[in-house]
Amino acid sequence: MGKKEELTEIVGSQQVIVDTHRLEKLSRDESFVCPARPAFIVKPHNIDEVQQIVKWANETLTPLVPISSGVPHFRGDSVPSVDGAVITDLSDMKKILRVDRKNRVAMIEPGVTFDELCGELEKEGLRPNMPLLPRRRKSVVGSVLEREPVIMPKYHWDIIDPLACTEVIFGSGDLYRTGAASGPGTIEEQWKSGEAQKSHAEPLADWCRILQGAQGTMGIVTWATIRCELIPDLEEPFIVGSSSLPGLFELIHWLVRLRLADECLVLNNAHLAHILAKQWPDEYERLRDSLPPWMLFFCISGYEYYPEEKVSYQIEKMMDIARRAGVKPVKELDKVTAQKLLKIIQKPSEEPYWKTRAKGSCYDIFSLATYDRIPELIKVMNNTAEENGYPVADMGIYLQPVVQGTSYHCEFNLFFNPANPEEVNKLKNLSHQAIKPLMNNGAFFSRPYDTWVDTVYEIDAETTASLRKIKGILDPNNIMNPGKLCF
Amino acid sequence: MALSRDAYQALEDIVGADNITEEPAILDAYAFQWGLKAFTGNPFGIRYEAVLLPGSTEEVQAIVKACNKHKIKFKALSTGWGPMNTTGSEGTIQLDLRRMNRILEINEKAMYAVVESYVISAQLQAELMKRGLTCNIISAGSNTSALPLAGLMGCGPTSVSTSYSNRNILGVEWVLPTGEILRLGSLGSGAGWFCGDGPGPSLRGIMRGYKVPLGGLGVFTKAATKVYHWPGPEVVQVEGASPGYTPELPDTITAHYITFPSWDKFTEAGYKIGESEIAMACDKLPPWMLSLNLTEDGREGVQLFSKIRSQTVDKGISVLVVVGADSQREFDYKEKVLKRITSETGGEFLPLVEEPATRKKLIWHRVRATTGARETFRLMLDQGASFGAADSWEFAVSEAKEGAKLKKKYIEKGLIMDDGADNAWGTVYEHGHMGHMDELFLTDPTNPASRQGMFGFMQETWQVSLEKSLGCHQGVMGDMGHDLFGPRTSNYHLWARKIKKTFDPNGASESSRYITAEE
Amino acid sequence: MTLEDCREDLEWCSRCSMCKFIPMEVISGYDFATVCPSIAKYNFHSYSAGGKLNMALAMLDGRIDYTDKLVEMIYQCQICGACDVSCKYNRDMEPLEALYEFRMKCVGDGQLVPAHMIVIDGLKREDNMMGGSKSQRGDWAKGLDVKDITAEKVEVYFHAGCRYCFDKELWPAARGAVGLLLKAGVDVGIMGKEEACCGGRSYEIGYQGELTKYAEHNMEMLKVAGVKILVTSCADCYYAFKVLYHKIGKKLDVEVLHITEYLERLLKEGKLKPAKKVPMVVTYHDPCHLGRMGEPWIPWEGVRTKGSGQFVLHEPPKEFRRGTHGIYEPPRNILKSIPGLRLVEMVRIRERAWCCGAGGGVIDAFPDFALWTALERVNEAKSTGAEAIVTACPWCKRSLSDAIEESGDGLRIYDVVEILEQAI
Repeated sequence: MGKKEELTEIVGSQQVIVDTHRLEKLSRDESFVCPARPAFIVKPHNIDEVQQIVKWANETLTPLVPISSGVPHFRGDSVPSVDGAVITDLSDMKKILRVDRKNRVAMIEPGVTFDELCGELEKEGLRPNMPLLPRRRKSVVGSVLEREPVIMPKYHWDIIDPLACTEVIFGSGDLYRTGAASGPGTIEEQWKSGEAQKSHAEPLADWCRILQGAQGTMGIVTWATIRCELIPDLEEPFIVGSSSLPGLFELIHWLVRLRLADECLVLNNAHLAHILAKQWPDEYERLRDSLPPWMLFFCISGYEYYPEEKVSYQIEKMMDIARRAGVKPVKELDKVTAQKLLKIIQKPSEEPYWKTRAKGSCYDIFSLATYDRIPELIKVMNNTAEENGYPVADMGIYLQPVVQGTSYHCEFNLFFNPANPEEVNKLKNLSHQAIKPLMNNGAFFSRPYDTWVDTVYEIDAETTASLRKIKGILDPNNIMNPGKLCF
Repeated sequence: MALSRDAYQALEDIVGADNITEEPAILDAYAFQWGLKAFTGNPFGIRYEAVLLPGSTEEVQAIVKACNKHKIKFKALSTGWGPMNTTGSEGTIQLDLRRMNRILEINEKAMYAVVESYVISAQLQAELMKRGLTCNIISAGSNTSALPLAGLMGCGPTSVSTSYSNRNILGVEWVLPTGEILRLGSLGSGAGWFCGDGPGPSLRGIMRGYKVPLGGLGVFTKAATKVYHWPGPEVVQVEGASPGYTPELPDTITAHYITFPSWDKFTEAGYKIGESEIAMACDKLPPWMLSLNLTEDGREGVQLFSKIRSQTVDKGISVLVVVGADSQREFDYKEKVLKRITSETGGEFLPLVEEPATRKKLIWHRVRATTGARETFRLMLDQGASFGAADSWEFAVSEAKEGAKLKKKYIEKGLIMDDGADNAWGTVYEHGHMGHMDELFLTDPTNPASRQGMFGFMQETWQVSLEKSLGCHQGVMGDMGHDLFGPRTSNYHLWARKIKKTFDPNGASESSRYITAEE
Repeated sequence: MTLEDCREDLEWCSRCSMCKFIPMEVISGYDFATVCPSIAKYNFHSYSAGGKLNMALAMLDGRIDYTDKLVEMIYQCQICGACDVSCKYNRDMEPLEALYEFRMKCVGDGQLVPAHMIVIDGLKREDNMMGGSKSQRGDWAKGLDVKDITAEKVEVYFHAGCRYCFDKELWPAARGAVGLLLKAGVDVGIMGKEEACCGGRSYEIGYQGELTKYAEHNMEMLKVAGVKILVTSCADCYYAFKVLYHKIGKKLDVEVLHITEYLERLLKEGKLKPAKKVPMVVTYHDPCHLGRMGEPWIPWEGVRTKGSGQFVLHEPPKEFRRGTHGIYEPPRNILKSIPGLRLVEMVRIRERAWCCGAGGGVIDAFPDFALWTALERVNEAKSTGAEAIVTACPWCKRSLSDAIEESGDGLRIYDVVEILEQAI
């Protein structure tokens, strides 16, 4: 019996895809990683099938590449590094298993998208702490496993948030439940005792942290619990325009420190113009040129108890801090209303995905850094862009305070036309050249993708060695997405 | 089993003659732990072969390498409070990290502090307060290490607003059991202390669970911890002399001790207080502990407990809520919300804590966490804790409810001290997202029947946790406990053993209180 | 009492480490948080009060025997009582008593520190702890027009103490004290060369019998002299007369006052009026024996009983000495009464004051440790911005002076008396 038949036996014939076009589509993505064609796409329905697939892969030493989001993919992590891999597509596992208002948590399978989750949560008065404008077909579980930054930093206590517990089939084929979900008892029994799978740690380890950022190299998550937040009763969003960052950083520091703001993020003019523009290039250019170089967006929210009073004293305090920081929060900036922007960022991106609207694709370079290093990172990126002939004025920049302001996700968006080889080549060079200088100036690539990986790992031998040991424990035959990260 | 002279010389060469000893009296001082007597009848555990006082990470590394070479086990401690600091194996050396006691950085704007192992929380918090900041302090007290890898679990009176140790950790410097220095996250990439995760998977995942490895997986020498806003003064001026200090606190920081008529109402209030983000502390300080907290000797404590019993234990379940604000408006809002929640849930303020001087004293005791030893050991009892796994607030309350129910039996038999069967300490975490509760109990270790009562209670609570899915207890340490809970808990023990085996192939890091590699 | 009588406390040390720090409530920064010089200098846990209790228990249980190192550890401690205060912030136990008893056991078992043997020999021969000749004991007061209580009746007896009598550099403070008393019209006298040691220091290094001997001697001398008030400028002597004598059942039948208490009384009564400006910023060092250890002895005889069959209570109820009622205000009030003088406080003051380093026989047996301890204090004093340290004990002044000299700082040091003298 061939591999296809063996897989068919596990998931059924409909769920094993051999269509060349679809395989071809997943042999590459919008990044610069080398293409490699998968042998099959397999679409399990449930954990039993996932476990059988992983066991089968161990027996046959077949690489598995788990995916859960719809295309386009951008970062190369779902492109097989070797030929003959089986893409394990979890997008059919779409159950929202539980929404628990009291404990502000949802348990979902990996195929659930932000669009789907938001709708279900809303019924219970909840919302996810979302990344900024994810793709409509982006898997929520995929996003949290990637440690994608979220837009409400005050609820981002730990970098693992909003991920809580998971059910996972490790690369070894073993089933494991992380965190409080580990037990004792079944999940149903745990619910009976009031447990809500909120704690991500087990007694002696915190395996969920190993799964996060692993790009599918450790195992396949079959459900996860996601921390949620309440939908406010009252929202007062603001925009602060500025030609420089220090005043904005000062205000952000206090907004997060004093828990004044829910949503809180900084965009440059090109970034916001890309989000808002519907017509290209005119509207985009008009917006880009009319907006100030930097915009801080934040929202002060009131909840169940006396929301007006809460929002009122918080606005008073915020205005006082803003005055001292020398910046001016407004409700509308160059015809962009804070309310409109709030509504945009509280949902996934409209189709087509905003990053692809302008030129067809977008290459993101992102890292973490403390606020004081960000101006240097921008300088480095501007220089590198200029050196490679990339128009700096069109480079999007997104600064997201994370982990309650302990650092910032600093993201550079390089919009490009994937059909233009010259542009692609320039961008390839740019991305290659930028990583080291960024690192030298305080950038930490906590989530290395694509061609950055080697540069990132080569300076931290001990972490690399330790990660390989962990990989040896969880995936002894190296069948899970081999070739990614330092594996 | 004394150390070979070669080994001793090698160790002495690392730390210098003043910082190593085999003096039996010193070794016995390190072998002593109060809690052992209850378990073994002897307060002295196994003697370490030598005690070393390393002064730097490099020295720790060299010691660990020497241990691997000479086949010696090692175990490190910071302030060393509790039986988990003893060794379970002959042939172990003790690393006392007290010379590693620097605060390396306080980054006010990025809201983190970097400490070495022997900075105590009171020191760190005092420095933070000068900058309008504070930190999570574990419930044991501010006399313990501020390193978020030192306390068993790491939650404390203010965890509703300051989270708990496992979730506060950023960059970490970790001497692995084989002697390599692992620098987690941004630290390993040379970018600073602000992140402990990546590149790629976060090695925080193997470093600790909701409990720390208790010295069984190398030595944590430095770590960054998140810090939080403090709405009080830069220095809390304290008048008077010990033990009856009178702290000066602004009127925009207050506290109420609220008793609710039932567990359900108590639970509901916890959620509401959490979600409304009004509390600096939301701390289930049981009436027994409150009584000892506020009094200056044990007898007074006992008397106060009997006085407030009818207003607290007999009426329901109580919580201490500390409210702090930067402005009068904020304060008024928070107080108004708290009063409304109290009214909605049928709570009543305890008049004792409404008295301004008592209230201030209590706030400072909790914020600084000064009275851990007072609330537990003052009356010469052995304190044990059962349950203590964290998850949702409702789950935490379930633990406390079961604890109280089981404890009543033992109290009625006179085997466990009568604390009204309401001596669960716990807290809401992160404004209602999670909760913790452990059932404290006090026994007389000089009384064999009481000791048996302690074992019986522990055993029953373990059993009930397994049967009713009430989590893996915080007190489960060592192979025996993990082998009991592990098979019902996703076999976490087997995976932990793999970590132990992989990262400590020579078994050098003494791990009898954590988990050994032996299956 | 014996070490065995302390067994319960030895067993009930919870090893919380509070004894290593000032009470947590009053820690106001990273610096100056520690309180025990012994553990601060030597670092091994065994040097802390908790560690010593652990070792004492090990000895009672026959787990360890004497070694030179053990005896050294027991004595590398000023027995300053700071650990006792910090422990008793939370606990109802008596660590300081156990430390005393451990030393007494050492002496009883013949485990003696050579330097202390010399001192005790001198004491036995010459009735002083300084190795001086008894015949020269009264030299400090030469030229003072003050009565001799062995010859004349007076109301107030001024006891100089061994350190003042034999440390010539310190004489001005003792002479100044008498001078101020005379100026205020006090009917004061001294004993001159007939003055004998209080016996307190010998008790602290484990020679219990010497304390009894000197207590009886001094009781008799005072009875014969018929004085009503005993005043001393030495905090150690004050502690012995007021606390230790009472503790061993030899409570003096006179009022015992430290000079600062008496001077404060005279200021209040208007008998002394500081009029001259002393433009100086000073910080005050609380002597351990005047401050936390200077609070009255509270006799208690009873047993520990089980309340509710479980917890331990003292019957009859025991009032603990926790350092709350030491002599803290009188010296400060004197300083505050002086025009132009500004008092700035260190972190470790009152009941949580850091020791000067001299106490418990450390200055005799381990002078380097004494100096180290004093240097720590000098650094703390400097951190306040003060120009001078003021204290109220000759042992403290000696130790701190040596440290100032060692550090080469311009910091000055005075006794409270010397400052008041300047103002009057």
